[in-house]
Amino acid sequence: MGRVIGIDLGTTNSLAAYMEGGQPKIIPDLDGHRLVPSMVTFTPEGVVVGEQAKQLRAENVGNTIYSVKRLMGKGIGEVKAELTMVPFQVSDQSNEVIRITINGHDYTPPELSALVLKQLKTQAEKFFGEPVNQAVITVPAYFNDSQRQATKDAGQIAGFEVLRILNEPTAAALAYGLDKKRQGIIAVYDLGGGTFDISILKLNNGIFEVLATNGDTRLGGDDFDRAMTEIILHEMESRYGNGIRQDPKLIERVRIAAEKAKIELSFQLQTELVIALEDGKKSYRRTLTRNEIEDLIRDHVSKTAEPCRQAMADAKLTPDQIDEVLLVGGSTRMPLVQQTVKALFKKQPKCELNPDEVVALGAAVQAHILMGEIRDMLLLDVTPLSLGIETFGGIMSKLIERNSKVPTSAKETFTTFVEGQTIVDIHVLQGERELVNDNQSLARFALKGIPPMPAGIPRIEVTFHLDANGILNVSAKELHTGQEQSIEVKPTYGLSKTEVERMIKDSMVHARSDIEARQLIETRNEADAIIRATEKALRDYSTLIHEKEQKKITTALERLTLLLKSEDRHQIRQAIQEVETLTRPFAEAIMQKTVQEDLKGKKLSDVL
Amino acid sequence: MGNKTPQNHLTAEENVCWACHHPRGTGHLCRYCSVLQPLLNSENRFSVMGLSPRLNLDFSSLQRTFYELSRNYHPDFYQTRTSEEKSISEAATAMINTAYETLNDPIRRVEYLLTLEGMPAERGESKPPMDLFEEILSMQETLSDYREAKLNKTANLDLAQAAVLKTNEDLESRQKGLAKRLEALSLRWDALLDSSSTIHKPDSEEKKKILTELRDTLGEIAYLRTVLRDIQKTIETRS
Repeated sequence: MGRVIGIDLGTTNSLAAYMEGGQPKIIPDLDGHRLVPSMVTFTPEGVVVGEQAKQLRAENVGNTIYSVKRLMGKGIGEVKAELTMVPFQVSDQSNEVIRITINGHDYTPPELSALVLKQLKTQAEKFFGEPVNQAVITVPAYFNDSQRQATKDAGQIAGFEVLRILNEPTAAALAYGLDKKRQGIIAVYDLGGGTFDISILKLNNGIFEVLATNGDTRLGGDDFDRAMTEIILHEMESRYGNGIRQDPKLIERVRIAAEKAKIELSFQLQTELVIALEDGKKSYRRTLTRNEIEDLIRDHVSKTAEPCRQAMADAKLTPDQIDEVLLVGGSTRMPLVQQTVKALFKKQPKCELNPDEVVALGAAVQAHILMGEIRDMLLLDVTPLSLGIETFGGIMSKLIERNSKVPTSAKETFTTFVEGQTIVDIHVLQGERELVNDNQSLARFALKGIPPMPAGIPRIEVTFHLDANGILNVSAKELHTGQEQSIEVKPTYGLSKTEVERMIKDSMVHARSDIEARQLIETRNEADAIIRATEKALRDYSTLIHEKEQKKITTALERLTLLLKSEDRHQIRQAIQEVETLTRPFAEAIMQKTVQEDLKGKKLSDVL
Repeated sequence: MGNKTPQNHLTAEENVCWACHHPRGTGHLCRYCSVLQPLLNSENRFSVMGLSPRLNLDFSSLQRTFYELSRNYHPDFYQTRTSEEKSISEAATAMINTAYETLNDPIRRVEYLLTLEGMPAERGESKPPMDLFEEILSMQETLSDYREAKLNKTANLDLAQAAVLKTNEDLESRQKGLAKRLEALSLRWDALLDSSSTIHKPDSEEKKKILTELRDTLGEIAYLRTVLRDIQKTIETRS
């Protein structure tokens, strides 16, 4: 069956974890990095993901994509304001799904997220030395159905079987309560790069019961960075003129510097901001204090208060009934955030687990539960938003209340309005407002093939089922005939099934060329290493080799050096083998010499 | 006493495992082949939780049952099983969740009982408590005074606000009274159930009377809740 991993697909960073000896552990890459920046950059040589993409982001602005999570499952209209602040181009073809244009190609948010997921998959496969095909992927608890579905699509496009879409704060609670000694009511305050969640749970002998959840899917560290970037750009404009904003690379450098300063100011009271200007000689310099940035972001941080109060009200709890508050997400490292939490819950919040890693760790625990490896822990989660259908006058009629435990079902009976009508349309929504237009449209369902009858006679019972992922499934039955009705689903802001299937296929085709590209790079690296080692040996041990042999080797090395630029992996491989064959006697001679030196003055028995 | 419905009366159909057709037993897994079985006692939300339709419940025992059932049926434990078992698990858990949530909430519990007894309190139907008629009228006046004072920033704003808060307090204590009434009615309902048996059918007059009063009380609670929410909103929109 292979390995199962837990993945935290974050706005800023992503990471994967696995279980070993009953404990969740982070899967590092070959260089020991634990976090993979959720960034993708498109270069002429190919797609680069993660840390390398982050290095290239200022240079390759316009082709570097980040914070895709905030676009997942969204329509273009919803994120207009958001898109004016990111340095990438949105396609005119965006309708139900946002499409981002890079080098003339359009990519949807799930496809871009899939690139990050695939990076994690490859990393995990290298780590284990075996295929990894199944994953639990986390999402903000306040994600709606479209956003969850988009995340699941991304997982599939990356080649995973997605075992579960898991809420981030509940994942954190699982990691936290793993030792089962923890009991009582806990609140998880999760402020990440792009989203905010609050969940309140009851821990009872291995049961993790979510009592209420709330949040804001567009609130996080990104907003702090933006506020800071805006102020810095404003100051730069007054110093250097309006041209500043015409330079996307500069804007990107400002953004990077702002983020860096923000992080530093969590640990120190002031920091120096240095941003190189276009001419390369001058730099913008400025001291930034913690007080200054706290004033800039205070309004954003205050926005977390209302969801917290609402969650407590929904759980019918007051702050004094909450035993512990857990901090999750990189933004909770900021002292202002910690003070806000303390004031809201009237107690010192806890941050004993690494706030960047705890969600991935919890996802690994949940993966283990799903594989049947853990039987004494169980997570009982809820749906964050009410689900309903459109009724007369553009009113939303609620079928499932927010904070209902999932899985859950609701049934509603529909009929026809015209004689002989064979199709009934159902518009499904999510949200807390009265009017259809104020809520999130999820999908339109067409009930087809209703037997022609007089108006009002057919009785079609539709079951809306929210599964354990919080994802909607709809089925329908005509009650007179007992026949299952076929349903055609048109997601409002999502990919259709056929689109996802096409993308999975595409990514497999690309996977082949990706492997090719990787093998080429690896062969080149190997050749490079051999050239350097051989050159060094020729310098150090020239006395061990005849001049004639030396010349032969040098010629072969020159040939290999020339081939380094070749696109043909096999040609390079051949040249490598040639060098290796020629240098073998030389290598043996060197090895003999080394041993002789080691053995000088020693009896053989001393060495053995 | 009388709190649990007997669990050993399975219908012929329920008695047989859907997968191996052997007698399944009363557990969640077939006694013979260990395959997950559909939920027993699924006629209504009380029976799902192993209860008779009583209104006074012990919360901790309800929660214990809920956790036990969840440990038996939750989809997390059937991820690696057949698709049939997965859908049985999804359906059973959905039922368990709804039953628990309904019975856990005193208002929803009464609402559900009324539906079960064929006297549903219509959704959103809120009945103005007639004996409150004058108070409601004067409350409307107090509220509109307050809104006006706030709008024009007149000097008597503090006074108007105090009046609103006073009204709010009055109505809240009224609401508490209604909750007490609901409690008393619940006790009467349970006493009626306890006094009846298969031989002695419950007094149908008394039954109808309690149910009607329960329904009216729910209506009044819903009405007051709406009014209170309105007042809250007015207070909160400060500027």
